[in-house]
Amino acid sequence: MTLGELWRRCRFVLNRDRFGAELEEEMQLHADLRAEQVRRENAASATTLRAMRPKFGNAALLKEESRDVWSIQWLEESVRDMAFAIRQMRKAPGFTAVAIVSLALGIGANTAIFTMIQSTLLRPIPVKDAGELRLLTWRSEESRRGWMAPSFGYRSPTYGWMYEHLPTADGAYIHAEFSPPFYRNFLRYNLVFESLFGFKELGRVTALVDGGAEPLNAFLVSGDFYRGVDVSPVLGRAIGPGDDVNPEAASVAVISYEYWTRRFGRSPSALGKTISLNGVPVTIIGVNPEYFTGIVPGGHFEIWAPLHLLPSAYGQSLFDDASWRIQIMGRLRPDVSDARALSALDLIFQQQLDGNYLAAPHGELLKDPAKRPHLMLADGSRGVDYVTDHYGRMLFAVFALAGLVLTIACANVANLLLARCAARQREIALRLALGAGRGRIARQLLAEGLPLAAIAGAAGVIMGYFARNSVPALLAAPWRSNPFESAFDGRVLLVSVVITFATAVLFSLAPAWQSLRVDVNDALKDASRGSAGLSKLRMGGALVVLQVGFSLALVAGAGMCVKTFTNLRALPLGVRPEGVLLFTLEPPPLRYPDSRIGPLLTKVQGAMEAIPGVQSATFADGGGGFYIGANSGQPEITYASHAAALAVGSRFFETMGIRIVYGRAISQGDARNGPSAVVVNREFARHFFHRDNPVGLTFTASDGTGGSAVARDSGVTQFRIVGVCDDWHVDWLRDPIKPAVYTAALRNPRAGRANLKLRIGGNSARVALQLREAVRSIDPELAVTDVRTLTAEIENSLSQERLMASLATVFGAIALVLASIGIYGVMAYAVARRTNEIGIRIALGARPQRVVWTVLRQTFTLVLCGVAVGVPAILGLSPVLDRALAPTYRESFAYGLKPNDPIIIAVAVLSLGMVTLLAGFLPARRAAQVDPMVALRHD
Amino acid sequence: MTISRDPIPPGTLDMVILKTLAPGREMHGFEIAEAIYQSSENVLQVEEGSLYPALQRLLVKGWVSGEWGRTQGNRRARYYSLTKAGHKQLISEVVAYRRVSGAISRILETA
Repeated sequence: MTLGELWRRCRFVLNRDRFGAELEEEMQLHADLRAEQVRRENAASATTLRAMRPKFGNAALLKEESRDVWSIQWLEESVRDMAFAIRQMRKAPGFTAVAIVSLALGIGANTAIFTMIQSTLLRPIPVKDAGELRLLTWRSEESRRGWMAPSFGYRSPTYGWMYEHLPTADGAYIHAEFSPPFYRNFLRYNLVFESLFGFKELGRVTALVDGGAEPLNAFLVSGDFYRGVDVSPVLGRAIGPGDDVNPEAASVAVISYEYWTRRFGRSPSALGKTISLNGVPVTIIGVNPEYFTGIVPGGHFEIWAPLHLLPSAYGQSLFDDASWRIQIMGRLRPDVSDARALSALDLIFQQQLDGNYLAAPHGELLKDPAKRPHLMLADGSRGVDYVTDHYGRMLFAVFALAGLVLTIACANVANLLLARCAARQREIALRLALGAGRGRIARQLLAEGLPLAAIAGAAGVIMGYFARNSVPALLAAPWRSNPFESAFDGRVLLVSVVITFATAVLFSLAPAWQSLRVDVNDALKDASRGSAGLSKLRMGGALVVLQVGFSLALVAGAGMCVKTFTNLRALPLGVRPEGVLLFTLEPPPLRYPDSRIGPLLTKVQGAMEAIPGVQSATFADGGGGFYIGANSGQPEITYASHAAALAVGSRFFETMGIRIVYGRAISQGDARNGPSAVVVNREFARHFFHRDNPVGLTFTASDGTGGSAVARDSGVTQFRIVGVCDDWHVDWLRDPIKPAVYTAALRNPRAGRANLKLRIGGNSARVALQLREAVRSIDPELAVTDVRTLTAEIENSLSQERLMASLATVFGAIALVLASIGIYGVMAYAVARRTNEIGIRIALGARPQRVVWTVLRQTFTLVLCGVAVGVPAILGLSPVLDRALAPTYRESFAYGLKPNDPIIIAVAVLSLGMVTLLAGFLPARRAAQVDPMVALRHD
Repeated sequence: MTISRDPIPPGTLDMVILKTLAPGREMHGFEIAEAIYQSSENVLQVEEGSLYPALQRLLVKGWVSGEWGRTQGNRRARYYSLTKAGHKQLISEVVAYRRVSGAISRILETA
């Protein structure tokens, strides 16, 4: 059928009535003209006239034939079937409502979750031909897994400071950053990439714009970056190779479209404006296009500056040869294969390795070909994709759970349709007897399912549209920008439509398959009671068993998620989080070097404590770690001798509400000279001194750089314990409590970020306003960021667990309801089929309890079969779910329980059993109330 | 009046209609039937019962187009004319028909 033909046919279908009238007129004209002709040839006579007329034969049939030429038969029949289905649906509003609501819930959940997956995980970065981009990474066998939280940098004995690295399954590491010699040589000897460019996510800087300080996220790029990603600014010019030669040339910046709008009202006068980034003046030279949000999905960067800006702006040396901090991406030449590009760059990499590290500590590792690091090319179409690392597996697991819910809903609707279809068995048999093809009948049942699915699909898409932000809302932290997006677009709609059609096919399949097996003879002979009912029940029963099994798996999964969440919530925190307000200061290192940071923090602390409602204020640095030698022994560089270290201000323990068990807290006096006083936690005392109270004892500490000198406290290698505090989770609730040391921050303060903590008695919102004011009065060039309560921070650290607990509970509840509807449907149908038999039994003297029991026993069998299917499903699936949900760097999601916790499974079986037996009890009671007289008359 | 009227051989009706319309003429159904009858020297008679379904088929295929107009007797009638696609179809059908009928007559002659 050609396109034109289809178009003409469709026009016919739409104008069917006019078409009929026209055909009739045409044929009438023909008949009249013929009659006239005959009249002219012969003498007009009534008989000939009558003789002429039948030439047309059966006029109605002829019209029908002419019309059939036009029509698209299957389409019209299907439209008729659907109309029939809609009439049927209106006749059974209860059934229709249950079917539509359960399907809509399933489709809605899938739509909402896919919306998020699509825009957060699947969309390539917004640059031209993102598929041509490759990210350079390298793999080393040097495994330091578990030594520190991997988000911190560590100092590799061989290579120097490493930051971004991901452990692989086999214990190796994937590094995404390179040191300057590698970077320079890749760029110099590259023949396989159209362009190679370096970049570095700088994070937050304090910007001074028109006299006001504000925190901005900065992204540093090499001179070839803009050419490489092929992005041109909407205003001004891009950062070019000339801007990235040395720190002097690097004082330019491009701003994001969003920042241009927010800060400058899209005024062209933003160009040429000089702002300061961490105290370094830079000139705005361009504005990124609106679509270009960067090459880190979910990242929000306002400022784009040359790589060479870093040393001056951050007090860190990006171009130190032993510092691995530059990330590299490239656009592959179209005529070069990945394998060739890789071997060309790996050659450069290997030569550089030999040149730099053969003589380094552990350099002999390089002589073993199996242990040698090697270069890898990763897909760059998603840029630097932290979002997938952190949320990918979880979101897909949630998607799978939503899919399971939809499958259960499908089984449910199939079941209900099956029961209804059985009532139409005679009708179907009659159609078959009259010559309808079995394919035609199957098509009819499918067409009848479509309106149901279409309505449910539309409702589901609307639900999904409104619920699309619920998952991001459960995950997001309110005080900072979040990587989640949920843009509802054509692709989401397409997927929802596909899901809807798949749903229709799935749930129409059972009745269709059933109808194909109808034996016409039996069905027509058989009145309404016959034996065919049993086979119907068998198929419905199988669907219910499947439903119960799947629901059981979902309920058990929900149990695991909820228990994990409550276990984590119930952990003793060791702090009193209520009434603690936190914020962060980013004093620019140029303005506040090591020597000036101490007085600043003291001043801020004093200003905070002057705010009405603030009971105490303190500060702490970002944290780090020491290797400990107990009793002044030499520290060993092993995991067992590692302790977390936090440099804290005075009143730290009081403000955080951490109990001092023995001795005293860090005081202002500890910042002055004398032996370096520290507080340790109880775990430290247990681990290193094997006693409860080590107050007065000393130990040696090293930061692992080789010597025993502690970099933070240079010159002092000895610490004296002045107090022991309660254990508390410094970092992450899931981490076991580690030994921890609290040093006096002011003793040897370090430039950089400071975390301020206030204990307040009053309204946190009011204090939050006043603290900004107080900081501004100390130094207008200081930016306050991340103001939040400690409670909110703890809550947010559990956001993934909370999301899973709430989603899995909702899904589990839906599954329970659907399973009981399924049981109810099948049992109600079974009772209706057996009304006759039950009537006879009652007439013959069966007691009502006995009748109830007979029906309940059937329910019981179904549920038991469901459990028999469900428990192995749980045993197989929960470890998979547990691993899929596991947070980054972890093997397990479940906390405080095994993924196959027997109590959880028992509770799931019990709750499902109770709900479903209740659902089965209603039809059973109805059976017992059957009036024998009515039942016997009942056909 | 006992002139023998043969029905049109099966499968050739479409071709005959197309041929009748070929010289760029516009005709309504009755005229087509009459034209076939006359140009076949009163031998071929189109059954009205098959003419109209055939015309619909040709319309669907896009080989003829129909325009409403007025007859001499001032009655509304649908006038059919050949489309470009129809012309192409006619040629290919005629070629095929000639080939087949030539073959058949050769068989009949040798017999």
